[in-house]
Formats: sequence, C-alpha cells, structure tokens
Amino acid sequence: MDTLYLWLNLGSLSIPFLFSFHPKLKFYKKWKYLFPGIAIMMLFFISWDILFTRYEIWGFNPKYFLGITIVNLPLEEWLFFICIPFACVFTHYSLLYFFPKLSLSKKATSIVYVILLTVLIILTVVFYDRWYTLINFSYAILLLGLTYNFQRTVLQKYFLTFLVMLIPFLIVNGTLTGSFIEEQVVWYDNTENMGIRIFTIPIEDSIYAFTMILTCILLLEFFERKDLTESDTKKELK
Amino acid sequence: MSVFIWMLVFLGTFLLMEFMAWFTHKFVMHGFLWKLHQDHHHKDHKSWWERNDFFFIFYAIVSIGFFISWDSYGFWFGLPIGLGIFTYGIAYFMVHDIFIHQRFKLFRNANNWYARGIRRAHKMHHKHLGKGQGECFGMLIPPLKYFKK
Repeated sequence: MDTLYLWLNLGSLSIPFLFSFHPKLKFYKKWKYLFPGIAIMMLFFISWDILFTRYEIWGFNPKYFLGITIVNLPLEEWLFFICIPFACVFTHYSLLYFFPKLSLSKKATSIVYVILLTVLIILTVVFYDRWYTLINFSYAILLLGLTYNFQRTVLQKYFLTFLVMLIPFLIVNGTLTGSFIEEQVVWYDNTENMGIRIFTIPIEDSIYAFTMILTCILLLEFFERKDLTESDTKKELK
Repeated sequence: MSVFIWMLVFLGTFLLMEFMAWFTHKFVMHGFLWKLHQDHHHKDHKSWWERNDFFFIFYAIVSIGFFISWDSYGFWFGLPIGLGIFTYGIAYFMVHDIFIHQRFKLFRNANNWYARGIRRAHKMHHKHLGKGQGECFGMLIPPLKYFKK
C-alpha cells in the first residue's frame, strides 16, 4: 500500500484541522503565528533529516510512499513536518483551553527538568558515538535549558500536555516503524541509536517529538507576543 | 568516520572562526578593506543593508565551497568544516547584528552576564570611529574583564 505514509499524515491532520474552527477554541486564529514557527523548525529538522537519510542513519521504504521525493526525502516526509506539529500544537492548546488549570507547580517542573536533563546528559556522554542519540539529545539539552531559563511557564504546561500527545505518538510512530504492518515505513540503523525500542519505536523518537513540538510552541508564542506588543504600541500611538 | 573526530573538526572550526573574525576585523576590515567596513562605524546612508555585509558573503562562499567539496568531491571533512563556519555565521549574526545593533527587533531585553559583557565590549569598539584606532576586535569571546562588574 504505497499511500500508507500519506494516510498517516492526513489522518493525523484531519481532526485537528476541522476542530481548528471550533467556535470557542478558534485555533485558526493562531495559524499566523504557528506556520512561521513550523517553517523555522523545518529549516533545522529537514536539514538534519536530509543528512541522516544520506548517511543511511535512517531511511524510507519505497513500498509505503508515493515515490515523489524532494531532495532525498519522500513528499510524505515533508508533509510529516507540517501535519504532525500542527496536530500536536493543536492538542496542546485545546487541552489548555478545556483544562485551563493544567499546569505543574514550579517545584514539580524543576524536579522533572533536573531529572530529565541529568538523564539526557549522561546518555549523551555514554552514547556520544551514535549520531541519532548525539544530535537529538544535544539539541534537547540546549532547548530544555533555554526554555527552563527563559520560558518556564511553557514547560510547566508542556510537560503535561506532551504526556497526552504520547498516545497518538505511539500509534502513528508505531505504525511508521513497523507495528501493525508487515515491513517498516521508516527504518533506523540501530548502530546509530541506543538500540532501545518501545514496541518498535526507537526511544530517541520520543525526545525527537518532544523537541520538535516544543520548538514550534516556543516560536508560536514568540511571534504571538511580538504581534500583541506591537499592536499595543500602535493603539497607544493612536 | 568517527563521530569524535567529526565533532572535533566541527567545534574546532567554530572556535577557529572566532580567531578568523578577530583577525579579519583587525587587519582586513580596519586595514585595506576599510572602505567596506566604514559604513558600519559611521552610517552615511539610509539603507538597511551595509557595505559591511559583503564580509558575510565572503565567509558564506568559503562555507559553501566546503559543502561542495563534501558533496561532490567526497572530502568528508568538508561537511563539519562547512557547518562550523555556517553555525558561527548564524551565532555572529544573532549576537552582533540582532542583539547588539538591533537590525531586527529581537532580544531587546536580554540582560544576562554574557549579554552584558558582550554589549560592553562591543561598545568599546564602537567608541572609535576611525580606521586606525580601536580595541576589542573579537566578537563572541570578549576580554574577560568585561564580564566583571
């Protein structure tokens, strides 16, 4: 079935897209901040993807995509970086809309942060010679550090909303890596990651998703803040 | 290809670029290419661009050259070297052109120890308007005294 990867993208996008127009949620109002954020995230993640595909640290099974490639990535892989962040960022904000109090205490956030950072640093040092682990965890350490120091309130909420996103993550990424189907859509060279799999998913993928979505949320909120302060100054001038 | 050597080349290139920036700045930009650097010290036009931006293009070409050497000629060091120069360029632009000179209105409120040190050091450099005099020609790593209160 050469449309499987496409269906996974469209399926992930469908409900979040339709519910963007929910009359109370009005997620479509955030689109103008979300899409520039996704574009900047893609600059980094697509370059990374192109290099890893070229060095065969991971790759794609032609059986499951249409056959159109841009640079060396299937069209569906490009769409992945639009559909999945869209769906996840939507999930983040709708959870916060329906459960406004969803937030860890400052103390709990600090504890989770310190534990997570410690584990990531140790694993990066131990597995420094595996490309996926090294790049993925180094970026996570950098991003977590910056977020904790400059945008801690985002982290207080994201630590919780991300747990919810892990459910669709397990289903979609599970399928991509070969659960439920005969072969795998995306394969990984196990000598370039730690070789630990949750079902069929390399454990690094969870950190990958964590940083990809956090990057989008931070950029979205950055553009939103900027726009709001600018429109405030314009109002004052009038 | 050993990851360790790859990282070493990448980080080494990044650090070496700080030296190259200092050297180019002190001996080339404040030297025989002062004409291109002058409008960075004393702006005499209204454009957002500066003639000084040509120096970015120069290092971009060097970086692209290394990417091509990796991509087309199988010189694998070309990738970490090219990426090292590219990453340094981004860091330099963010610190020097955005944070210090505010060419985009970002990072305006940064006030941590590093931001304060960098701002002070670069201010010292801009106190002088001419070609000949000057101090603090480096960028990302200023003299340590600027970090002291």
